[in-house]
Amino acid sequence: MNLLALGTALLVVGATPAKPTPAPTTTATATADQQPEPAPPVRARPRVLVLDVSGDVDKSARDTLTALVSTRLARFSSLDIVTKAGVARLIELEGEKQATGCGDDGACLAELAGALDVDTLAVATAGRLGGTTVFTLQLVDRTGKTIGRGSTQVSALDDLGARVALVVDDVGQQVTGEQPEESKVNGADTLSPSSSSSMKLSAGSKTPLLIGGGVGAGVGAVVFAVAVTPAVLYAGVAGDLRRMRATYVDSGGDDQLLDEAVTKQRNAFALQGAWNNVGVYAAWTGMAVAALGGGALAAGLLVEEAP
Amino acid sequence: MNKLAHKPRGRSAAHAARALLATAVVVVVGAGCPIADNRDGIGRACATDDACPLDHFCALDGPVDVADAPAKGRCAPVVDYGACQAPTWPVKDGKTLEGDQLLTDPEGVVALDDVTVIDGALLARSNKFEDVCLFAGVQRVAGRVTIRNTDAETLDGLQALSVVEGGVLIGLNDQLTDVSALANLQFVPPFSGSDVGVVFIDNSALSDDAIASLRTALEPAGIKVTSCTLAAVAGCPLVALDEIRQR
Repeated sequence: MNLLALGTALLVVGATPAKPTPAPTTTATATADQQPEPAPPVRARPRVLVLDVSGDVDKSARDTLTALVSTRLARFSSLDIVTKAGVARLIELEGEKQATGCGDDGACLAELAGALDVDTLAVATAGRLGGTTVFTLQLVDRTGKTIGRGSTQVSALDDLGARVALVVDDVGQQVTGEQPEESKVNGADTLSPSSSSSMKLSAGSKTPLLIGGGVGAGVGAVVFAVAVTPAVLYAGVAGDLRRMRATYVDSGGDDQLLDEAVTKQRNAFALQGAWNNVGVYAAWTGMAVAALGGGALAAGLLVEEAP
Repeated sequence: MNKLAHKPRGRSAAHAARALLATAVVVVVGAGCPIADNRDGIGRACATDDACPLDHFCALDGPVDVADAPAKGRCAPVVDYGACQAPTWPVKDGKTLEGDQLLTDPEGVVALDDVTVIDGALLARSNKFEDVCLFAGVQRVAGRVTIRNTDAETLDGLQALSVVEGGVLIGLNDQLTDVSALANLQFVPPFSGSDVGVVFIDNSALSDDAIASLRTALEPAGIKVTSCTLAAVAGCPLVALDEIRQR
């Protein structure tokens, strides 16, 4: 919460140099005595500075969460996301940072963010509470007012990413009133849970894969269908024989039924031989080819092709 | 209108789902597995030296002379076992029992379970036999079938018996009144020195009508039936009389 207060103060003081403020002063209060200036025009895309996630979870987790917050917020087209890394890139060189007296600490960067005319701060914390990890996110405007808020808690860190993504989406919707775009990156690091796969097909391989997969799946399916035909027909003949038996018994032993059964038995014997000697192997082959073809087809449809 | 338009689609969807399910069953259960020889036995080929699955008998294609054997036929289900229970269901091949089976007590005889062929003679001789259901699976006996001195009232249980290579001898069964179970006999060579294959001797309760019915039933198969008593032996083969006279 200290960071929130500091960030709010910085926004109030640093990002609105035209307005005198009762907020605690820092180095940015140097602007407090300046002459009033007209309020900055309302931008079509408010600029949001995502501060590093604070709290007592380990640093790598916090880094990951920071990137996740940035990425998810970037999916709202009406927000212009500025990350700490982005600010750092703006001042470009470490030497320059040193020269300006600005290290990696959030306060300094926030001050710079104020100088960059940021409209909103995204302040997030991730802390441990017993066996539970609690994540909170607030979006604070330059007047210090919280314009969006959300939190979640999980008992397993494995679930945290997905829950945080939902919280960010919810807060983003509170602020913008819009739905997040599914695949927007907007320059921020991509850490969306839904875009975890980095596998790509080699260039030019998608079309052959689709054609080959389709042909393979089709041929395999046809081979399988043809191969199982004797087994399916056999099932029908076997059913006929069962019915004939019942009729034979009911009739007290009709010899004509016996003659018909002889023909059925011959057919059944031939179908059994066709399946046991050929069909069973062909069916396996057809299934394997269809599965391979289907896999290739799925890969061609679902996996992106490298440029 | 919309409802009418949707109905066929729902039905075709149900058909498609059913077809898909059937295909899945075929794939999961059938694919990769050879079909076992377990279909019903009706109409299968059989011969005097080759039995049918259990619960069937071998109906030969016509009268068979001893010189013609082995002869071919087709399997027919046993329609009715009378007072006995059918051996098994579903259809399965029976077993062959080697050697002569000389039984004097039906108690504890389990060796005949699922047996369709006895590669020897079959003798049941004891008044402890109140029926012959024990032999319900037997279709072929390589030797003689003798049922004597029992208390059986019927021969129910012998409905599957179709080939007996050593003749059938039924004697001294005082309670016996019904021999229709032998009507499925297809091939019974005559006793030596005679032309009869089925001999009844001194079954005091057995009527002439019952024997006449059986005679009629077996006539198409070319099997001759005779009956006599130990006091009046005319028509009975000597070898059969000798066997009955043995204590």
